[in-house]
Amino acid sequence: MKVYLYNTMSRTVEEFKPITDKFVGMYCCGPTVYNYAHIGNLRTYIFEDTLKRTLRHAGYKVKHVMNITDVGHLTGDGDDGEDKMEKSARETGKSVWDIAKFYTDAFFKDYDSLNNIRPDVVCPATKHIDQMIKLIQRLEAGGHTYIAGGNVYFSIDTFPEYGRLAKLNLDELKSGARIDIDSNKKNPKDFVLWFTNSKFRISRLAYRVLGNEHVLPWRAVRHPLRRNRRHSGSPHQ
Amino acid sequence: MHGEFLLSDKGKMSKSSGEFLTLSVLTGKGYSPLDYRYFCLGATYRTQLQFSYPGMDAARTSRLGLVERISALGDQVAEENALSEKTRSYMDQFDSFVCNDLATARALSVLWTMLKDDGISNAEKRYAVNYMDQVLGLGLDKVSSASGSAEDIPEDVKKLVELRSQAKKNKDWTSADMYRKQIEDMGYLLKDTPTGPSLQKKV
Repeated sequence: MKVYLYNTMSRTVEEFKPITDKFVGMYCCGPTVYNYAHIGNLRTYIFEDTLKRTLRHAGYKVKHVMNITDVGHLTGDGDDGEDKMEKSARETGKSVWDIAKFYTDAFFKDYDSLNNIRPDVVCPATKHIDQMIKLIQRLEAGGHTYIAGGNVYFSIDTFPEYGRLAKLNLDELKSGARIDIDSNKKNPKDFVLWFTNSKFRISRLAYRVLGNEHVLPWRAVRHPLRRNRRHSGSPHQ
Repeated sequence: MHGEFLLSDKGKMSKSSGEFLTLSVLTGKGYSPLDYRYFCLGATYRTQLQFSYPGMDAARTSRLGLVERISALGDQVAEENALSEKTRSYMDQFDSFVCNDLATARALSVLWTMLKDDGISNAEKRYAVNYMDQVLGLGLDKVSSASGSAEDIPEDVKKLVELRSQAKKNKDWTSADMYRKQIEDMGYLLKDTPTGPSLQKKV
């Protein structure tokens, strides 16, 4: 059975041809677990579940991977705003771990009741920080990053293809219209890969999650909150 | 691939725009999560979908209509090698829609047409329903015909049905509605038919 799907990159419906014969690796963005999902969020999971079911119905073996964003999602649209988990913890007096567990459970309750088939792999962001760091180091080695003000930025000028997927016309986009201009940036469209020096204390969360050793690779400036404290034992399993 | 937004009456649905619409809000109003799934399947993933309660009501009515038709088919399922050309053609049509960029709305209409077709046997319809539900995920493969036999209905529910019939005789519509709601809370949907009230287990 042939399957035809819309390809965002080409903006056309194309015949689906997998990289590996009869097999599909499917990655879908999962929830940010700082609050309940709303039904608009849930619509997306229904769509993805329908895609998975269709591919299996058509005879493909599908491996479905979904992440849980339990750190690193900022409240602002750009690189501004607080970490949403940190904000929720501050407002409710609970730990970020408690919040993540509570809303992850709530999410899957909704997910199951909609009759979605669970992903084969569910990966929380906090369990893959090492890989994120390695990826950033690869970008660094490839000359795509720079450090400014203690933060590691992706330099979009080093990547001409940037924006093709979202069809961004970089000249037309008015940066600064919704986002505060970050004077650290070489190009206003550059985005942060790693914070060590956010004014919203994301580094404190990073310390709590990761311990000092993970923050060190890019610590260009001695961070004011660093006190040589090991982060207290994580209740993470 | 990317899915499009759900719109509330205030634009893109989000936490900041008005009532925070979670699934619990919908189930609190009496909808099943599967009604929301049916609602979403009725649109294509690449178009923005306008949320509305009338839309949800229509989805619920349709989905329950499907459940009713399927439960009336009996439990026998035809063998795969005994399927008629007609049934196969419905299944092929269904496939061609879902495999063409997930055109679930059109696929649903094939399901409906197939169910209404007197030219195929109930057992074959059952087979086709199970086949199509692999993609639709509406739990239609689990609908059994054993959802309405009188012996299954609990005594309490039967009593409420009696009380309601009495209230109606006395033109006490408020009480009648109240009893109907209580019956629903106990897990049964009551429908008035020419031959008297009929009960169906809530799905």
